[in-house]
Amino acid sequence: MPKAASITDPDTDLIPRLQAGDEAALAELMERRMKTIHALAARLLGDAVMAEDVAQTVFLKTWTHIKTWKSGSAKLQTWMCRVATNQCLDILKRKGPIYTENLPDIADSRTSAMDKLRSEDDAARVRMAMNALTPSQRAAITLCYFEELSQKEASQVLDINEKAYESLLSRGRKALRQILNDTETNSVREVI
Amino acid sequence: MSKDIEIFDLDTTQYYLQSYGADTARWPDPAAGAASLKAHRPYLADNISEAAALDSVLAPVLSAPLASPSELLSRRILKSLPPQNGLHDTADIPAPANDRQSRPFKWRTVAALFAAIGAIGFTALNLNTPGVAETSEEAEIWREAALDMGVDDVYDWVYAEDG
Repeated sequence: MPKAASITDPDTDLIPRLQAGDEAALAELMERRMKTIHALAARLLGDAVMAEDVAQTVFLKTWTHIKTWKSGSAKLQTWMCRVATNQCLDILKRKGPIYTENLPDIADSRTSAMDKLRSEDDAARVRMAMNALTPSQRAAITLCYFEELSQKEASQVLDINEKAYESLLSRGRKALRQILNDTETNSVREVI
Repeated sequence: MSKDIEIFDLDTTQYYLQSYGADTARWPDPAAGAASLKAHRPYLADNISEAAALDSVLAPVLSAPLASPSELLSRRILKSLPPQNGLHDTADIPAPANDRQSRPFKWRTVAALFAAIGAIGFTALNLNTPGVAETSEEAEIWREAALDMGVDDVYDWVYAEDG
């Protein structure tokens, strides 16, 4: 757990209660942060069910380690996102890329069936391309588009400095562009 | 009081463009990013359109809101809460369930029971073996019985000792 410095944490009010072993405080923390942690894990793993297991581990670790938490150097949510990301990276390194359609439903306001089909096809291509990246590149790209975290927090989640994070992003985007171009060329060839 | 917006040089702008994409809302300093892209657009037109094309495929997939996990997950977590670290003074830990304390006791009992049975069996074998070698016929019967039971090594050892 990080050491004290100065940062505003929106979960500061819950920390003393969590440290006192108040289960209601943990329930409140889950209400605030469960969606974020689960969404991050689901995006990193591409699997909503495994993401639930990761979310469970994150909240249990928060509960067991909260006594040593020193407020001020990072937001509790950033630390929780780091735990979630590390868990996901471990899973990805152990299991290799996960190809699954088992993602939570994306809220979709489009009415056209053709638009929906096209977006589903694009989404499948993006997931395949993301699976082909290294776990670190995949994590960096996912965190970059993850709106609950700033870019600085994203680099903190990966436990690297901002330059290293930007380098991962740059290489990841380059690889993605290449993979997406290749898959597009292949699908055009298949149609012809 | 107005704050001057920094404009990055061409190389820095290109570097951020390659890292964060063409949507400057994702850049570490969105205002400076927007101003820099505007200033260097004539030189970076290809890079900008390339980055924007990638963003247009990635953003809908990676930024779209996902459905929340089930309510059961939170309940499951609350049910399986372990003790917190730092609460390991025995006075702070709630009394453990009975089975936790009784488990080592049960194992000790079972282990002692097996040891006692083994000791009785070994003693009985030792007490009986002197009689085994009294005649060669009896010895042969005991030898076959020992072979059937798979303890012929023990029999041989006892026989040799007595012999």
